[in-house]
Amino acid sequence: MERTNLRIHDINRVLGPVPHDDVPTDTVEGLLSDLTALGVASCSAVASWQLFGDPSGRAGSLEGGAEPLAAGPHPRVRLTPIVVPTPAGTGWPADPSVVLQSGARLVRACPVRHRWSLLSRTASRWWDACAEHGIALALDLTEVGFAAVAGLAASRPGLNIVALNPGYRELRRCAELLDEAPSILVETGTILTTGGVEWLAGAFGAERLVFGTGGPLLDEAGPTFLLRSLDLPENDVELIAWGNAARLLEGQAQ
Amino acid sequence: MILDAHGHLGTWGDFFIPHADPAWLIATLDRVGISAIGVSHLLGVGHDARTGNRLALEASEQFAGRIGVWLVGDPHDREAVARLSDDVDHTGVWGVKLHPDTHQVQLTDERYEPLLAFAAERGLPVLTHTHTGSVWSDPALAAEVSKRHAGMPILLGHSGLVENGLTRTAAIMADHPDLIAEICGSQLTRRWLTRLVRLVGADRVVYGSDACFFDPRPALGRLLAAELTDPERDSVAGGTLARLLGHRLTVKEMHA
Repeated sequence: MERTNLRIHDINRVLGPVPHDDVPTDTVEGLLSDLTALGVASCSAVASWQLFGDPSGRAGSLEGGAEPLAAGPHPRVRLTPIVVPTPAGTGWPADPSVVLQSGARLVRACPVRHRWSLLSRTASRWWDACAEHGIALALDLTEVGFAAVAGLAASRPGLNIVALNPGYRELRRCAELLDEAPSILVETGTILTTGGVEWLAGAFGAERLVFGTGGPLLDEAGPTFLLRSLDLPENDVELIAWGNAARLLEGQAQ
Repeated sequence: MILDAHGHLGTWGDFFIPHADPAWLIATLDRVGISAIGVSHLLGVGHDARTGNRLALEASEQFAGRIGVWLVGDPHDREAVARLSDDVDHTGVWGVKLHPDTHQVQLTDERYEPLLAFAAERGLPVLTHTHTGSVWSDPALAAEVSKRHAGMPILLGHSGLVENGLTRTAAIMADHPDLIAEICGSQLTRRWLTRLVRLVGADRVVYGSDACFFDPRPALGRLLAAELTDPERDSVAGGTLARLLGHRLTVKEMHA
């Protein structure tokens, strides 16, 4: 049974060209076309230049790319800024207030890729501000590791964390993470072992799972089909597909 | 008709698999319209091919026409050919499964040769794990084996596994007509699946999911969303494999 009319928000997309492949999502139009082909209503996306280039946009690195703190390039595409919360002018943006003023409800951080510490004094100040203002933080588990996410969640219980890209072999660690802190949600796109999404939903509740794929770096079509054919109650599937993301984004998902 | 060329039963040591039993697998195949799946038991892919093959054959009997069996050939088993010979005529046997990486024997090693010769002699297709760059299972090694056993279909499990190796896998296949690309794996996207079909032709690509490592649904979703013509999609979904399996394929009408 495939739920063809399910309303879906993909919380983990990349917009723009990538260094190692020719992708159809290198433009806003291409991303929209890709979403439409898969029947996905909307997405949250990071700008590829922030992921693969200098996330600060200095010295022309933003040239041609989407401005991550501006309003989304299309009502179906919300940009997720990648922040670099480091001191002495090395980070971006200069202060968390800039993010707050932009209206962003979800930020991404790549502390390993961008070489900074998730629990530094400066970063901690950022996470306090995010927690206070209801801004969620997305982290890629293959980049930062499960322990770092658990540690951050333990130190900042009010901070909503979206744990991206756990991988199909990590149900045990996902269970540990979800058991660790109620503020953590896990992305489903790579939970691809047999019945893994249903198992996690049964053990921890569908409200702890959020649909995202990591496309085009990771496959979008398979996880989307899996989402539509989950052996779960309708309400649970709707939470994973849309409701939990909408809650994080405060109803701003299209 | 959708045929899953690459499946497993059982559990695996390094991660938690919620559903390792054939009943769950069949129920899920029914849910998405997959007619049959060829499995090897993970015990066999791991440390005990003898027990693994027995369990796979039992499952095949329990779900006749829905579960086919790839009998695992263990290159460390001195009696492997005799055991395969005992099992090969069971209804539901699809062919021979090799996993050079877990058994840590290079596919071209002489310890595999009796198993390959047996498969060739009995007209059995071989499904082998492949991983681009692996000293045990790089697709170029399968090409070497294919040269030795012309006419024996060799399914390249995962097509070399990594996306950036797929063009090389396709180039290797161009010179070796008995090599078939099997498409399960954690790194394949529908974009690359489309490219692979364009490069080698739909008649040389077969759908596989790697269930129960993976849920069978995502790989099917990837195939359904790939930018293929209907005839191409039909070939990848089951047509190519049905041609290769011939009389060995006995698909029961779907329960769903």
